[in-house]
Amino acid sequence: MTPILERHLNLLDYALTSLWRRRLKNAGIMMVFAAVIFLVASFQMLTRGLIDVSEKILTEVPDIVIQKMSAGRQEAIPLDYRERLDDIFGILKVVPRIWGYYFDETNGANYTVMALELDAMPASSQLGRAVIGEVPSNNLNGGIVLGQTVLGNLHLGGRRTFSLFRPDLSLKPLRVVGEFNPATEIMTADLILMSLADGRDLFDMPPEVVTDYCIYVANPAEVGTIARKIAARLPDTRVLTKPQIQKTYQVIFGWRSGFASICLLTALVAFAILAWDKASGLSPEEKREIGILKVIGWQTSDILALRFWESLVVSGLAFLVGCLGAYGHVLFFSGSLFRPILLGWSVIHPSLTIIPVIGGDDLLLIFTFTVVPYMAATVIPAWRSSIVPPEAAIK
Amino acid sequence: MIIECKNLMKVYQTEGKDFRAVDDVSMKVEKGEFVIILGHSGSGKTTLLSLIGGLARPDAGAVIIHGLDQNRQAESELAELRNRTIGFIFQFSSLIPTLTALENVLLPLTFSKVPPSPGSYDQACTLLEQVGLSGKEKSFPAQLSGGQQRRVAIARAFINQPDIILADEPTGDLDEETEGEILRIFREKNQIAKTTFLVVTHNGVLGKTQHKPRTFMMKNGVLSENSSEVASSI
Ligand SMILES: Nc1ncnc2c1ncn2[C@@H]1O[C@H](COP(=O)(O)OP(=O)(O)O)[C@@H](O)[C@H]1O
Ligand SMILES: [Mg+2]
Repeated sequence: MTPILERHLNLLDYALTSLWRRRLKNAGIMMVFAAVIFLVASFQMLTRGLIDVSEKILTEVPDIVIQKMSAGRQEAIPLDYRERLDDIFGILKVVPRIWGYYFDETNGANYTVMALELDAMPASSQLGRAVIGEVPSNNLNGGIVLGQTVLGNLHLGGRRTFSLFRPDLSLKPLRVVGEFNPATEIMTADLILMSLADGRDLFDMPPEVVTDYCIYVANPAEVGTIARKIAARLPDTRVLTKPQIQKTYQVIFGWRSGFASICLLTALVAFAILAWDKASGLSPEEKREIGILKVIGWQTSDILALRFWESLVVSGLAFLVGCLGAYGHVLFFSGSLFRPILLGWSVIHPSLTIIPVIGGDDLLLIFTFTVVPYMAATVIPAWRSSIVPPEAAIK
Repeated sequence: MIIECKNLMKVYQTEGKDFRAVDDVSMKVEKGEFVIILGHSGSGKTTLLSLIGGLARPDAGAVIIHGLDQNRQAESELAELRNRTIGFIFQFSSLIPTLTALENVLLPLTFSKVPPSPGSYDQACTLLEQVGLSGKEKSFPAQLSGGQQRRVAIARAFINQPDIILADEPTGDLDEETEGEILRIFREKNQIAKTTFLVVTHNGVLGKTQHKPRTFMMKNGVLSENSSEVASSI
C-alpha cells in the first residue's frame, strides 16, 4: 500500500470514529440534508420524467393542424377544403379528424374522442407503436382503442364490448380492439381512438365536415413555408404548426417547473446558510481537538483531509438516501408531493404514472448544489482554525 | 547543542497594552540534558515551551533545534518536527475523547510519515504499562481519572521515541507515589535513550528527586539559571 493511500485510510478510519461519537448530531444533520436532497431530486426526476413522456408524445403531434375559424371561434371544417390543398408541394398527407369530448355520466369523467382516417396516417406516424393490440380499421365497425384511465373507468371486466350514447341518446355499440401503452399515458389516458366513420356516427356530424385537418409534410424544415401557403390558400382557417404547439406545451410546463425550482432553490439556500452557520461555529472542543492534533504533528492538510472525509461521509450518505428516496417517491408514489404543482394543468392527465428519469447530469447538478456547498461549509471553518498556531490547545 | 533559544520574545495584547509573556529569553541545552524550569503560575513557562516546541512563532528572537532555525521552517516542517523530534506533555488534559487510551497513545504514530510497524502496538502497550495503566488500554478518557489521563498523555509523548520531551507540569495532579514513578521513567529515558528533557514545574519535588538537574527560574517572562542548591531549596 502506498503511504498516501494508507494515510487516507487512516484518516477515514479516524473520521468514522469521530462521526460515530457525535452520532446523534451527525444523524440529525444527515437527515435534514437527505430531506433537502430528496425534495430536489424527486422534483428533478419528476420534471425530467414528465418532459421525457411529453416529448415522446409531442412527436406525435401532426406537423400542421388546420382549423376553420368563424367569428373568432373554431367550427367544423368542410371536407372539400382538402382538395384545395392538393397542389401544395411538400404535403405528404392530409388526414381529416373528428374529435371532441364525451362526458361519462356514470363515472363523472370526461373522455377525449379522437376519430381519424387511420389508413391515411403516414408511415412515419408512431401511433401504431403506442397501441397494444389492433388499430381500428377505417370502416364503420365500432372498433376502438382505449387509454388506460378510460379502460379503468369502464369496468369492462373481461368484456370487450360496450356502448356510448349518441347525441339523440341512442346507443352506439363499440368494440375494444386495442389499448394505449401505459408509457404514453400522459397524453392517452383519457383517449378513445376510433375510425373517422365511427366518430362521425358517435357525434352525429354531417357527412361533409370534420373537426380539423392534420397535415403531415415530407420535410420538417418546410413546415413554416407550407403553413404560410395554406394560410394564404384558406384565409378562413387557423394554421397551427408543430413547433408552435410544442412551444405552448413547453411554456406551460417550463413556467410551472421554473416556479417550483425557485421554491426549492430557496429551501436549498436556507439549508446552505444553516449548514454554514452550524459549521463555521466550531465548538471549543472541536477547536481544541484540532489544536491537539496539530501539537502531536498533524499538518493543516491532514486536518482538512479529515474534515473532508467526515463531511463526504455525511453528505454522501445523505445524497444516496435522498436520491434513492426520491426515486421511490416518483416511481411508487408518483411524486405525490409535487404533482399538484406540475400536473394541475389540464393538458396533463392527473392519474399518470411517471417513470423517474435521472441522468448523470441531473445527479451532478444536485450534487453540485447540495454536497459541494455542504463540504465547503464544513471544510473551510476547519481550515480557518487549523491555520492558527496550536499553542492555544496547550493552555 | 540540541536546543538553542536566542533572545526569545512573545508579546500578548491585553486590554490594548503589550504584555511580554516571554521576555528576552536565551538558553542552550545539550543533548541528553535534564532541565527543570521553575516559576510561579503566570510567569510565562507554558508560553516558553510552546515557542520551543514550534507551537507558536516568537515576536522576536529564534529557536534553533538540531541546528535548524524554526523561523526559516515552513508550517509543514514544524509539524514534522512536532511529530518526530518532540514529545509534548500538556499542562491540561489533551486526550482525544473519541479514542481509547491505546488509540490516543498510537495517534502520533498513525499519521507520521513513517508507517507504523507491527511492533508499535506492543510498544504502546509497554508504555501504558510503564506509566501504570496496564488493563486500561481500552478505556476512554472519560473513564479515567485526571491523573490517569495525564499518564496516557505521557505515554503518547514517548511513542515516537522523540529526542526532546517538553513537559508542562507533568506531575501536577498526580499523587506522590505516581509522581515518583513518572520521574523514574523520565530519568530512565534520559539516561538510556539520551532523551533531552525540559520539564516545567511550580513545585520543587522534581528538583529534589533529581541529582543536580540543571535548573532555570522563570519570573515575569524572564529566565535565569539557578544553581542546583538554590533549586532544591525551593
Ligand atoms: N493567548 C494569550 N493572550 C493573552 N495573554 C496570554 C495568552 N497566553 C498567555 N497569556 C499571559 O501570559 C502570561 C504567561 O502565561 P503562561 O505562559 O501560560 O504562564 P505559566 O505557564 O507560567 O503559568 C500569563 O500572564 C497569561 O495571562
Ligand atoms: Mg502553564
